[in-house]
Amino acid sequence: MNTTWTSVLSTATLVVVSACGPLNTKNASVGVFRGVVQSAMPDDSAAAAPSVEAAQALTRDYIEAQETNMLRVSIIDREATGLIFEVGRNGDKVTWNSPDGLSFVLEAGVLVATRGLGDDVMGSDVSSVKAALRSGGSYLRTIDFLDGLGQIERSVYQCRMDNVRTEALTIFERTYTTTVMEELCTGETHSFKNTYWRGGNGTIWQSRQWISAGVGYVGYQKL
Amino acid sequence: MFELDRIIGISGVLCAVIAATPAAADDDWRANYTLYGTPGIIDMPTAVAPADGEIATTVAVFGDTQRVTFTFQVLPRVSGSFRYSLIDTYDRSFDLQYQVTDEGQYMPAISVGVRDFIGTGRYSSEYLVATKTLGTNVRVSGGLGWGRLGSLDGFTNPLGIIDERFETRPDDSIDTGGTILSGQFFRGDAALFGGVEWRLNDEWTVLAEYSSDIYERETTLIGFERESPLNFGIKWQPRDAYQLGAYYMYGTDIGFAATILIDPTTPNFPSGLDTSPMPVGVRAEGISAAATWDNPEVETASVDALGSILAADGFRLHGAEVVGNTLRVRYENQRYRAEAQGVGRVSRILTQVAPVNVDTFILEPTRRGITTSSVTIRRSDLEALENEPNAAALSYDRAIFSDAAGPAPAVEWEDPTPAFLWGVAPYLELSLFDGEEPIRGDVGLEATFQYELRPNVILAGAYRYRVAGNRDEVGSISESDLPDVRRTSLRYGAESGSGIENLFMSWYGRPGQNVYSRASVGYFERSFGGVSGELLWKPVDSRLALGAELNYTLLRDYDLGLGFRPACSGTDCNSFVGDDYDVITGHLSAYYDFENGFQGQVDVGRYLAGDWGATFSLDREFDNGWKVGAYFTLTDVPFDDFGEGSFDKGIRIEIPSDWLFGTPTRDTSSTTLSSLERDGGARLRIDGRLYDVVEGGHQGQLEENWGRFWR
Repeated sequence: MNTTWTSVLSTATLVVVSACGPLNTKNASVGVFRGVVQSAMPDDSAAAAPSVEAAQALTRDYIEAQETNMLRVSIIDREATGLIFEVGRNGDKVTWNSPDGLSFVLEAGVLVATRGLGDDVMGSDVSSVKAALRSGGSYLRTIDFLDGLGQIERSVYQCRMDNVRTEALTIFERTYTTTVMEELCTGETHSFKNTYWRGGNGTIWQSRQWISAGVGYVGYQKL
Repeated sequence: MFELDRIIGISGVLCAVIAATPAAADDDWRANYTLYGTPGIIDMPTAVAPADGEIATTVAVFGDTQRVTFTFQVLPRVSGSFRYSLIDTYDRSFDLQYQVTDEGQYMPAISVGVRDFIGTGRYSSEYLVATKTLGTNVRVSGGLGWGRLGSLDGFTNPLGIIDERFETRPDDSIDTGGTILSGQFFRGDAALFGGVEWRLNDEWTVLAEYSSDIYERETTLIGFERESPLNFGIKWQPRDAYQLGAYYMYGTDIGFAATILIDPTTPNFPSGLDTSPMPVGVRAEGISAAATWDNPEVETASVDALGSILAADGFRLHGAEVVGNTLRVRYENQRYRAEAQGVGRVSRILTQVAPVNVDTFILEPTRRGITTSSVTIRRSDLEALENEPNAAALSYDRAIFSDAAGPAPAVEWEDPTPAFLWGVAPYLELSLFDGEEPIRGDVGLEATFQYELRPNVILAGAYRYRVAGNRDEVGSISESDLPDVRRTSLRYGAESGSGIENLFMSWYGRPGQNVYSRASVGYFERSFGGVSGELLWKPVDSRLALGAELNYTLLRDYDLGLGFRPACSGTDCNSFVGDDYDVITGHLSAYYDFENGFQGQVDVGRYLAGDWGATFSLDREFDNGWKVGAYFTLTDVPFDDFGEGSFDKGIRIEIPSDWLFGTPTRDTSSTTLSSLERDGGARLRIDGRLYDVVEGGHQGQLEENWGRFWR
């Protein structure tokens, strides 16, 4: 029986390559097999997750020529960097999308929600963060995540915002005088430290903010 | 028999899980799995309960004994196991363990268990065990065993105080196996066992135990030598997903075990890698939609645009219409497992496309061309709740659910996807544990097609061509007085190597409020073809559903062509005389969705061999789509006539593909581990029974998955 099984398995490997036709996607086993092959490769979780499209050679001229507002983002742990574009507005919240289907929602520069990252922020109330960015202080923050069973999981964090220094920040030939604000949050299972480079009129020109345990930090620059 | 058409799928699950789970956490000490594949030390049980929902598959070998065990933590305190082992012969066994109390500061955890409690009882034993953690890295267990666990230095059963009959253990098993051996539970001599688990660090654990099992059967029948009651082992668990163990057993043998652990509640990508949904179009911010659809040209153009946008996101629009201030759309979600996510994504697309005068959306998701429910959502709620905290719960409270039996929306959308679709893909078919030979299998190519006459009238078929395999080596067929409706199933396509797996047409309908219908004709499965009709009553918000099915089918030829055949007769089942075998079967079914995630089903009626009886099933359905369940069928076929196993029973698992890879899909991989295929209690296998089609779109599952509404 051993001989038979060797031949069966080797044939299986060969046959897997040959799936075709519009209905083949319905064959779950083929998809699963491909998934296994992919997951066997090193650093599989980063490879399987979509990343922000690689950034073009950016210049100030290119930025000025665009009609939509843009942010340069990087998902730091995935070493992925790219551009995201303003696609929607709902009150103070602005939705920014990447061409490959990730989205980030910011309210006055503070991250409110993400979609497509695998471990997304589903929604959060950032009014206390917005107030603290002006004056510092301590406050509670609530973030909604989606758990493995598809249920909303609310996490509450005890946070503190501090003004740490002023810094001259240059983004593609333009320099802004910014106040660097650091936000330290402690929750039951996770703690994180966000950093905001706030301009004189309150604009957040650059920031590094925590998304979730599965994704880590996102950094962005307003272009 | 363990039929594993999708073995690649299951093994894929295992590999993906191993590759992706994080390293073992050090704060909680999880259950260690034994050579029996159950929570314990080496051969002896402990009172430790694994994490709720955990699935452990263990392969263990020592001496000439081999065991493959599948253990599922059914409830926080209940573990259930199914085992296939080679003792002196291949044998199946089922175990149950119940944790009576948790471990306290001074009190140990206490569990009671029955091992191999159904069937031939080769491992038959019962136990009461206590486990206490000392400090942080030592776990000590001790217990009292009966049956095999009372076989070394057994003493008179202490339960004899209650009733003298406890002092003798009767042999309760019958020749064909399969019955519950309750008459011998906790009877006969008892003995003490115990052991220690000592955790050296996060990855390594040293094990030692005193076994009260004398291994009498193995010593007599397969020459096992047992010189000592002491077993020693070392366990390595570098990640949560697996455990590897090496053992020195009974003073004579070396043993090995590998356990793969899956926690259905923790996928690699909890929120999925689905692309971002369309943001809500807020009327106050200005949207590009038409002011009204009063002009027919605007209406047609808008429905066209809506259809294309929906198609790009994996939805197929059947139709749309505006009546007053309400936009109603009927569509099929082809991409997202959770219908609630589909409802959320479609409604956000509607905020961008609906005319400005519309303030209410009615969404009618469909499956197989028929509507499953109607969900009414206010446009202003979508605008107000997008990206807000607690948005899922608030939007669920504001949605209205009802039946959608009414006519289709006035404006149809012409789907440019061709009505005829085809595909060619490899298949691997394994049949395991069928008694004589543990593994048989084929690999080859499967061609499938689907032709949609109407969205609810579908002709579909599959043809398989074998490339290699040993499924043609069909062994002897056991004798039986029943027609061979399942007993000879290994012969199908065995000689020809290829043939029509199925080829049939189904017509789905909505004859009235809360009522669903299906009529099918053709070759439904390998063994049977004919006609089949089904009705289902299921209100959208009801936990109860009632169904009725009636089939007239004929037994197919072994060559998987278009012909039919008589039932076999004679020794080896090689004589075929008389008319083709035909049978009328049918069932009345009741389905109930319990609030705790369990789903029960009872089917009463006539089975394929002409026998009458009932099937009882209970599945645990996780909100993320995982299903683990068990079933059994009792009919008027006597246990002796049924053959090995006495009656049909088994366990089944269904794994959603989106759980594995994070990418959105409605596909699942499923498998059934059942007792030997016999002719009693056999039911027609037909794809697309109504409850499976309808369930996902009803309020119960919509509510369970509403967390994904905004995903």
